[in-house]
Amino acid sequence: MRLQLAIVVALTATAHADPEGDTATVVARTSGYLDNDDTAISTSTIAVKAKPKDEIVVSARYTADAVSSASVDVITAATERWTELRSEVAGGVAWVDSSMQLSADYIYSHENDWDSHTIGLGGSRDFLNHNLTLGLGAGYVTNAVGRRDDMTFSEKLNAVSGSVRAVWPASKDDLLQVSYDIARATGYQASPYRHAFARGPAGALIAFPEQNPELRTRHAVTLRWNHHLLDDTALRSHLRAYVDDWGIASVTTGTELVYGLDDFELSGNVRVYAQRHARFYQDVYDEPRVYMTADRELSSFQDVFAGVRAAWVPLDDKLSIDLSFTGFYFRFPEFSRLPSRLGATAGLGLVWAL
Amino acid sequence: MKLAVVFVIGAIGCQDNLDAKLDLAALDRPYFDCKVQPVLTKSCGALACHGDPLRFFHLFSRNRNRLDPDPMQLNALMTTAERDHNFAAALAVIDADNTDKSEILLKPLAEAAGGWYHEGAELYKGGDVFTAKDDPDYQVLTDWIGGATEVPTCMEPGSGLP
Repeated sequence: MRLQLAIVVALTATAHADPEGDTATVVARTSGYLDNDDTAISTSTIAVKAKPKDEIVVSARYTADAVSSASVDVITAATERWTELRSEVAGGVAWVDSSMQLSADYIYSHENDWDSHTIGLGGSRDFLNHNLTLGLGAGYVTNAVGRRDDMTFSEKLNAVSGSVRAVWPASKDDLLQVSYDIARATGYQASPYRHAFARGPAGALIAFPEQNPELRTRHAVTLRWNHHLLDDTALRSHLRAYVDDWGIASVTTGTELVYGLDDFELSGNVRVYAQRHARFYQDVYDEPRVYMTADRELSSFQDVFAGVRAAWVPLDDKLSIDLSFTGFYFRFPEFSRLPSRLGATAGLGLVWAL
Repeated sequence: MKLAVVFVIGAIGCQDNLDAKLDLAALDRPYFDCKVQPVLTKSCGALACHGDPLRFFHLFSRNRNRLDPDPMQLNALMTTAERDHNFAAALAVIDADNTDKSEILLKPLAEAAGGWYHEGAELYKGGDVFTAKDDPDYQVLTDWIGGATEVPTCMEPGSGLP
């Protein structure tokens, strides 16, 4: 669930150009998520970005998720519908001049059974008369994994990550970016609630507590292409290839068409994803294995997201009000308990530049 | 395309032993049939609990969940296949390397006694299956996991065994 929510959030926060204030920018967003796996989520965010000095940008954000779920994972854990509030606070500071940017960010998130601290550092610099930007990033996240109402369960999951990227204009209408990301996670990477199934001696299913490897190294290469089509019209596309040492390989591609008309901005986007399963994944295991998972996100699956967004930007670009809607469909051919999932998100945002 | 995926993953490197076989705890089958099965039938196998095939650790027991869906067979003697299943289901929730931390011991034990959260403790407002570790039925589970054995002729009352 965690990964797929991140995808939804990333997609609904489409890469449009929000107004940016001379001294401060305030962003308020709310969105709703609903799928046919009996899960509903309401997300609200308030964020502030301020420039106390010309070259200093500070930012802060608070996000709250109210989750209600009776998904197939919940039911097979012999549990009834649960609801909970998830909170996340983030703060950052950046130093920006005409050709260089340095940033540091911190995020703390809390759930009933999960606490997370994330530190991120980044930097970029322009070269060749601003015709080439090179960037570096590094991150560290430490998670305390618990189990609801169970003080005896406590696990750790830590991860370090790094990234490099290059951005350059390929022509007066084209901007290209290529990036490489690596992340290495160590610790508890299973779910304390899920059970994997193996075929038992009588033909019925036998449940085993989920167990995943404690190490995972991920690699991703992403190519982004922004193309200016006509006046106030642009096409933003991306292609991402991913592999990890659990045997997962995936490809993501998507594009967004953005059209500006006076005080309005309209956009439509589509994204498709295809994944090959982790080497140890089986829907129903042929025999008990050391590593057994019931995580459908480790199976082979495909998904498609399609969305539209409309923004009204009055007051000389000092205010933006936007509405967005995204529908999605997941196909899990190797996960018999939920062969497909259909859902949608709808969002309302307000950006005020001061 | 498939060849390219295999090549890239090969270049990055997959971890070894991702599909290694799990060694289950080597516990006594006659003790299970004679002593443990009655505890599971009495305390776990209700249809709203682990007699529900949709739940994990689902169990077969007389007058409850049966392998044979024929309602006329509901109260028939437990079959060997059903006993095999229950034995395998129980082994699956035992941590062979750290038996004290086994789910079969900690899930039905009251939190006040050191157990885990258990939805079943709240379902009927009756508390958890075992309120204390000195519960005789709980002792049956710990004894079995601790290596207790029984003669093959030991017979569960009313089971029709051997």
